[in-house]
Amino acid sequence: MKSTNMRWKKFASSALSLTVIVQMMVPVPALALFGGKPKIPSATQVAKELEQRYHVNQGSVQEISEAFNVSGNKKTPPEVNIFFSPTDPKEGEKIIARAFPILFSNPSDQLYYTWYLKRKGCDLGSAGGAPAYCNADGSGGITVNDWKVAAARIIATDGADKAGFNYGSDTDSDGYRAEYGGNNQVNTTNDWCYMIDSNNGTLYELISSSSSQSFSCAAGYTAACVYGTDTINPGTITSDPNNPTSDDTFSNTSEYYVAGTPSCSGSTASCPSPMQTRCVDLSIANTTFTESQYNSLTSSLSSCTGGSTSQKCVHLFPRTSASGLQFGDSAGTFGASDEFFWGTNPNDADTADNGNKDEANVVGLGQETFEWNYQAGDQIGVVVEGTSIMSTKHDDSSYAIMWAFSKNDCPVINKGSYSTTIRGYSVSIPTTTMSEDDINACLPKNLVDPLQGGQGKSQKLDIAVSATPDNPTNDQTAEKTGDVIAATASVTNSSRPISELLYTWQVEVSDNPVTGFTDITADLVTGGMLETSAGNGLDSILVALNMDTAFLTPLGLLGTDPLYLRIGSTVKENFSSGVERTGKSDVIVRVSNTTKKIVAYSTSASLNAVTGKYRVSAAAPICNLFYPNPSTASEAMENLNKVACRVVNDEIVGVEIDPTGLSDFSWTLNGIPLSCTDAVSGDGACAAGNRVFFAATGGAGETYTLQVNATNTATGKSVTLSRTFQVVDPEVSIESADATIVWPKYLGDYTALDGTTFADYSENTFEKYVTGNIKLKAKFIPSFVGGLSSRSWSVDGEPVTESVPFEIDYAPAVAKTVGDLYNIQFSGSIIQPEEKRFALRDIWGVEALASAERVVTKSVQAEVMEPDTIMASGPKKFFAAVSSYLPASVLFSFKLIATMALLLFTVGFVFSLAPEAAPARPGRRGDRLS
Amino acid sequence: MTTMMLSKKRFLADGLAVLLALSAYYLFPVDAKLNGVTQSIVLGVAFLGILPVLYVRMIRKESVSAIGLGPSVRRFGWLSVPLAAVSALSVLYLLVRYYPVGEGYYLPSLAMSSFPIFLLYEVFAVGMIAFLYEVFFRGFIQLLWLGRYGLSAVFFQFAIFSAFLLVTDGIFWQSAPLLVAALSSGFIASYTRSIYYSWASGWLILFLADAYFLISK
Repeated sequence: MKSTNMRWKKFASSALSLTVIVQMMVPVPALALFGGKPKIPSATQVAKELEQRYHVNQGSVQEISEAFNVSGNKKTPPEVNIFFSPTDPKEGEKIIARAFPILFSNPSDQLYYTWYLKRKGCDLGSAGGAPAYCNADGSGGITVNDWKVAAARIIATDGADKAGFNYGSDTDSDGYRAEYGGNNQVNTTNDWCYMIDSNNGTLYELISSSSSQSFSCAAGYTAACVYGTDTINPGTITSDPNNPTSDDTFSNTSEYYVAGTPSCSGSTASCPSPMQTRCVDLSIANTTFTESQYNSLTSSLSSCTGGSTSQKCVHLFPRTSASGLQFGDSAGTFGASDEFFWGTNPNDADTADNGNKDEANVVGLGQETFEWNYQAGDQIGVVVEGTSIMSTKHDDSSYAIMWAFSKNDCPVINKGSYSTTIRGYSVSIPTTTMSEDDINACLPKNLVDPLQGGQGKSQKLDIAVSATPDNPTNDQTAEKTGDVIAATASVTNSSRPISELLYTWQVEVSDNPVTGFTDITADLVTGGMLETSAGNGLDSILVALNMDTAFLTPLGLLGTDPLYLRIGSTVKENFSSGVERTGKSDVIVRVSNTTKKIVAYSTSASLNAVTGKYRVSAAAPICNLFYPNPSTASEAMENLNKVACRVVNDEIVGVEIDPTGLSDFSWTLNGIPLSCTDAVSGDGACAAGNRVFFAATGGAGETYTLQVNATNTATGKSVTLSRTFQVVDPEVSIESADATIVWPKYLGDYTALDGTTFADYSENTFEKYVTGNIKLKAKFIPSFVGGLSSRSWSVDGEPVTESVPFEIDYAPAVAKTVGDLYNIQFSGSIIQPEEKRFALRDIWGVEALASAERVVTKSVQAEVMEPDTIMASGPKKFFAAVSSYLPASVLFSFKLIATMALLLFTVGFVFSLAPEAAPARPGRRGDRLS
Repeated sequence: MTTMMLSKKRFLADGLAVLLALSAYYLFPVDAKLNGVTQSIVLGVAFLGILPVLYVRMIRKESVSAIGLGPSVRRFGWLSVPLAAVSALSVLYLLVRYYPVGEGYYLPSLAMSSFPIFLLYEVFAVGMIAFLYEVFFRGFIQLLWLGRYGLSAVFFQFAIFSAFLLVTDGIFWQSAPLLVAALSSGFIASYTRSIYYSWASGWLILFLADAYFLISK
């Protein structure tokens, strides 16, 4: 409607402009010609004066006129858009396609919606090899009609099972007669159907055949309306106009031109007055010609024959077969055989219960929505038949009956035209002889995939890959403590759960972030830096940045800093029908590749005599131990400190980077600049900027990301290093101090994905034989807090003193029997030295109450074991096993006899060794028996 | 090489055997998995009973009569038993009368609850303990090792026995019957050179003392 108003406005404006122009062309009055000093203004002068007087802009008028000239091509044909819900349907799930037709004059519920559904594999052509359901109409090959039938059955039955219907009789009278152009186009005699050429905007009327009107002109002549004009040629005034000495000389010239085509009424050709109805020689038909040419090259036109056309309009409704019965015909019957074909209930006029008769549902009356169970590969389309808002040229009330296609793609073929006289004028009407089949041929091009862009979710999976941390560091040393990049791929439009998506990861490396990336995925896996690169549900990977010299040299990246890793993920989603969707994305991570590292230190504090406040100094390195082959849990935990240094609350940590070859240090802690002033530390490195201090004042679990940016003095490039600190509650683990007499309980084996088997030992339960002491040691986590601790041990409630710091060597007063337990309790009290607490207060404002002591406790058990099967595990253990295995009474007797034998042997040995002299004479009575 | 008299050599060997036997008895590790009383009895039998016999037979290669396991050398040795017992009981009576000997005097509760058990206890437990003491202290120490010192040996063995009690159990008033019996048995053994008589005397003293305290409680 808006478009129509605009057209009328343009038309009115153009008419006004023409009026002005005509006024300018009115002959000047005689007074102006003969009175005074006669002036004959030119048309241009007149036009300019009028433009100025009425503020008419020439450019605007021209633009309007130009638009008016082509306004006939700017038609607004009906259109339809399909929207799906849900937009990312899953297989088997109900999906609703909703059609939104526009530019029809009918209400949407009065339009005919011919839906068609193409399942995967139901391509046009032979039905051989295709699933049986593809040939929905059951005849011939697979045609568009099969697609229509597949959809119409769903609409008409709404899922009803025809097995329960009785087709022996049809009592429901559910026939329907469709009107061309919509259900409400009743009592219209002429149904003019049109197709539009989207290229030139021309409407082509559907016809079967046509004949244009003809005139009885001889060969070489054409019927024409000839217009004649007389031109007055003024004389020349050479004397005084007030006293002319001679008369003016005027002459008259006649000119003719073809102004149009005659109309034909009955058998009489005629042209509007004052034009002459003539047959004109074709040689002058397009020129202006003289009176003599008029007399010699034109002749009178006496009779004519009127034009005619064979009107045609079609429906695109489904048929019983491609060439079979079309429904919605004038018969208005929908018999039992029809009901059986469509699966509707012959005894229920509205099987789908949507308010329409069954046949009306078959022809799609008012079916704005189409709901079906989605299967991967499904495509649908809709053709909407209705009456457009564009009027026809015919002398009746008709508007163009048209179709809207779901992709508005149906080019016009078999074009032609015919001319006819309408209201006395000869009118040329473009035509097309497109048949129903020709229009149906457009339907495959208008299929819409519910997953295609613009009509729902993309057929491509939407993936986003992210990676943390932001500034990871590669470790080229054997410590292999480089940062670990965690890359995650998130898919936003998958139909299947993550566990059913196939993720394929690719890691590439380059010395720049744009080009030259080399795939190192397999090398990372081989080197143990990446566990696996592909797998279902593998939505995240961990890349350990331990690319050493041997790894980087073949890539030509040794010494290159920084490196750039491009981590990409390809995700594939497969459906049971064989359809797959894929998506790919990647992220580029800048990796520091320097041999330098941030070293962490414990600290000490002292009073600054000048300021009267405490400040700190770096003491011993912390989080700096590395065990290439960790054998205990504490060693393994210590190695983890190289990745994320664990500190305790209220710990003052010093960090330093080797300044050699670097300058302009800039430290940040969690993004906040960190500086080292004289009030913080008097260390020289602090003043130089390569050492700073911070206080870990957060609660357990809080993470500090320390980052230092510096300039490489040799290359001028910036160097970025980072290290992570995590606040933990101090812990303590109890370990065996002598694994030959007390050892952690063996729980079983853990087999890694690569087949490597690890023994799993308990951290809370130890084992020992009946004999032997309990030798245990305490390991603090972090290890450096052990120096701040005071410790106490007890075994079965009896206090035990450490034999050496952190260790006990406890000999049970009474040996327990097999199966008994020793309960060992450990308690450690940790508190920062007073000086550091003062420093916390003076520098970081941490009050004393916040830096109070903390107590860590640990309880373990030592279980007295039955000796294992005799095995070569050391002589001490062997004998301990044997002795424990013997019954106590036997062992006691054995020891008793052995003692007595030893005693007798000793005395006898001494007795026999002692030299002996001859016996003296008997002495006193006590010697008598000797 | 300097030679020594055989008697001196034997004296030293005997003393070494006594020292080792007492040390072994005292220091032998107690097995917590076995009954403590049983272990004590076994250790007593081994070190105080069997070991002296083996020593005499294997090292000294003499008869067991050397440690008093033989008849009396006195015709009326048996008369010494009641004489010594009466004397000892008299001393005990005086001690009981003027000193708190009876306080905390130990008798097994089971024996105190039943006279037959008391008799069994006295016959077997007390009798065996008394016999072991006789074998070791009167026979092995007094007769064999310190026999050359005559009557003085009675007091030497008494001193060693007292030290033994002191180290093993501690000396309390309740040890008085044992000490008195040790001294009186020493005299009998010295007189008869048979520990059977001294054993009879010692057992009688202990039995009567136990009976007295059982009755008095």
